[in-house]
Amino acid sequence: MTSFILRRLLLAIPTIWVVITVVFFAVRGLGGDPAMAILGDRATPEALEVLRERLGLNQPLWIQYTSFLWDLARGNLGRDLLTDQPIYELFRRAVPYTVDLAIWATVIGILIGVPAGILAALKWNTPLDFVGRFLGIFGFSFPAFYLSIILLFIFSLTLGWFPMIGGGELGNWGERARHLFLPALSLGLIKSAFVMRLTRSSMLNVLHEDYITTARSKGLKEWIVIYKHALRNSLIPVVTMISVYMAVTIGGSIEVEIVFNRPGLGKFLIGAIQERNYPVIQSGLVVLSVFIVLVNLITDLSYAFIDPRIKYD
Amino acid sequence: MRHRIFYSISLLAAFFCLAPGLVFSASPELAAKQVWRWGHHTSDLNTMDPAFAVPDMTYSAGNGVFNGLVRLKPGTLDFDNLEGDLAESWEISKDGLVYTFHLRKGVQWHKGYGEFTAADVQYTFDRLKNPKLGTPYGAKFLTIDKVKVVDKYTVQIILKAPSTFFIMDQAMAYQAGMIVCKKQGEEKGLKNLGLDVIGTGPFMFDNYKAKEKITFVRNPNYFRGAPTIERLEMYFMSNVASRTMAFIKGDLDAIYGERDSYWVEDVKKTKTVIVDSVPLGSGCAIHFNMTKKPLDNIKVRKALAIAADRKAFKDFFGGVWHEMTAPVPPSYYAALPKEKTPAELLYNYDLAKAKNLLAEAGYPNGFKLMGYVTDKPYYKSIMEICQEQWKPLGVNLEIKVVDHTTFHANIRKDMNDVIVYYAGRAPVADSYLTQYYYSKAIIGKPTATTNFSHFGDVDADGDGKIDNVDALIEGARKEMNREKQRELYYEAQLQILKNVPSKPLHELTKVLVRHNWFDPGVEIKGSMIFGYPLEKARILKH
Repeated sequence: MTSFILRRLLLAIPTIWVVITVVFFAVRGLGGDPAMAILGDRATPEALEVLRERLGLNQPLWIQYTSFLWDLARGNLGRDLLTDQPIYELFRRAVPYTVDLAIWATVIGILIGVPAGILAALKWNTPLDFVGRFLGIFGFSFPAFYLSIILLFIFSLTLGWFPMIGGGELGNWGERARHLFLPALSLGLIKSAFVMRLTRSSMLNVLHEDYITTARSKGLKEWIVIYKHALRNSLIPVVTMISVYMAVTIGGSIEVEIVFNRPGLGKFLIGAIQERNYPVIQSGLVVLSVFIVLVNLITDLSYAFIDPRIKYD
Repeated sequence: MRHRIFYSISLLAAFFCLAPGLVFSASPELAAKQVWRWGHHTSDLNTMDPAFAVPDMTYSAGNGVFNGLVRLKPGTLDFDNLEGDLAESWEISKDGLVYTFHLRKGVQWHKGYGEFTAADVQYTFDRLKNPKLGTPYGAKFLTIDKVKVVDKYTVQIILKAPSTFFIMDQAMAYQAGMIVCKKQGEEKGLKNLGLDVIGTGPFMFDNYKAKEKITFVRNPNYFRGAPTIERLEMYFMSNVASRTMAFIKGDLDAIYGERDSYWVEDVKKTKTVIVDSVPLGSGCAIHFNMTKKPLDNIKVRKALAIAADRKAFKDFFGGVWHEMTAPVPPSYYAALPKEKTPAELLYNYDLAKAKNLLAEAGYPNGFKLMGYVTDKPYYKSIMEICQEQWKPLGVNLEIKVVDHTTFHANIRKDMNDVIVYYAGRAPVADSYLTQYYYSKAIIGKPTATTNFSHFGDVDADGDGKIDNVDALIEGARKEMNREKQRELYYEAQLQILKNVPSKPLHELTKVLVRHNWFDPGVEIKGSMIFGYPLEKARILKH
């Protein structure tokens, strides 16, 4: 197991290198100018030149690239071009808000999606199944930011149950949870539609397998057949897709963070892209890549718990 | 007689009984918690340094932290009645070259940085002039030849050439005109001061949380007296839906609104809401790149100008829209008034005339134009309205939508045929004319700012001569007589209108919105900043 984990982590290094190399050159190919973003439209070419020089943007691309890699190898994420603050410090505060959101949206998605999917599969082709499928398609095609605005309107503005602004203090768990509930629900409800559809189709495949018929013919209780035999076997594709969807959740979190004014990583990234804040974009994507690599690793390891036949060498 | 005495005594008794009530009603009860919560329309704040105060949030928040030498009376845009800020009084030499400021005594910098003196004023302006600082405002401070400390409380600023606008622009408590602390500047070195800045204003920097908020606390030693509000919390809320909801709910006391009449009418439905739709606004014009064919032909530009109907923009923007018929927005000092503009230079809508002009220019069937535009709705909509309005002329305007940063980069590479541009500037004709119609400001030059039409370097009217208003702008800047100065600016604007490098469209006012429990303490007739004056503001019990 340990050697498997180490091997996976080592293999992640070239993956992350490819990601950051592509990002490094792609953001510079976007056009636009960080110096202009900082100094604004009144800046003369002379003032822009002074700033480019100071920020090191006049250096040849390969020098900028190698110095970025060298800094990264030493664990230095660089400094924000606009505020001159260390990116590590900015992310140290932002990442927990995004991780909170991604994890709890996934938990809500699973808690609603898996039971709903099982129920829809068991009640296959009944009105309940039709309703579940309709809600699944509806939820899947609903934009997260729009659902966020609706939830804000109902639960914050009208009922006054939840706060509207910010993400709460990181050290105050109660406040943090109150600020998290609606954003996590927005993303979680949409995710649950996806999980429900996936669980349903996976369960339907398994429920028609011979070993389910055998289990039933042995006289096992129906809940044992469903939960022990059918569900465990149908969960592997669901877990795989949930981990893939984690990346999508991070993407969706950008809109939700903006609507709920949460100071998370998504909000940082979108601002950085608009301002051509290269170090923040690069470092942000490194953090996201690491996050996704870890999620994939945890997913792979979870297979062994779901299905004991799977072994890691 | 007896009755008279009785009535007199009754009236007196009534007065003494009611007087305390009258006094009480004139001073409403204050809220126990004097915290002002503001929702700003941007997603973050990058610096509080006045030298880099380009984002509106920076100079708006900076208004509570710093002071300038002189200032507008809070809540007004009355340039004829400026008041001393850090300067108690000032004198201008007869030749307009030497400005002598007599400074307030005993003003303290925040957080124990000592007393404000003439050395701080000298440091501020020398710093802005230093090219190594790389401030975007550097060019306008190069008009200063020397700053001389006469004594601890007297400073002289000597200009290279006379300029009556120095007091209204560079010396004003606005953007880079704010005085910074020499001691802090020397500690930090010649670079951006960042967020934790030291000022002399009513509020001091407290805390900053990236992408979330910036907070300030009351300065108990403020020289005009400590403000009533104890704490400012300014939230970065770029999403209009959540900003509006948080405001309506009462989680925010005031916000920057949307320049959209539908939005304004909607928020007004909440009983406690007060909308202050006030100048200083942003002027909008569509600029024609005269180096590109067929826009080098004045008849073509005139045709496009009169085919762009200002009424369509009025219908689109509603109450925040104000007609702009001159190159300088109407709320700016020395803007050419509509009544002084000959009818033919107003370029009012006349489609038949536009078609005739295009036919005379040799383009009876129209032509193609291209323009990059930012995805910001109030820019994009202008291009789209023009696209529709020019279609009957056979003019096909291809619109390429890009993000805001790319838009700014592309238009500075001369990539557009037509450019939509909004700008709020120091509200004097000089700033607008210098940045949009002065030959040094033409894009591509080392001194370029935002002259996209290339007016000043081209033969705009086809008479074989270069058309240029540089001399008029420079002459007006030096003119000490206000009336004569106005006439010079009017003449420059008339010349520009005759040559049609642009079509002025409108000025959109600022939309400041508050609940009635937030009392700014002054009447809001105008605002240079995206926010409220706060030194006399208070939160009422609600």
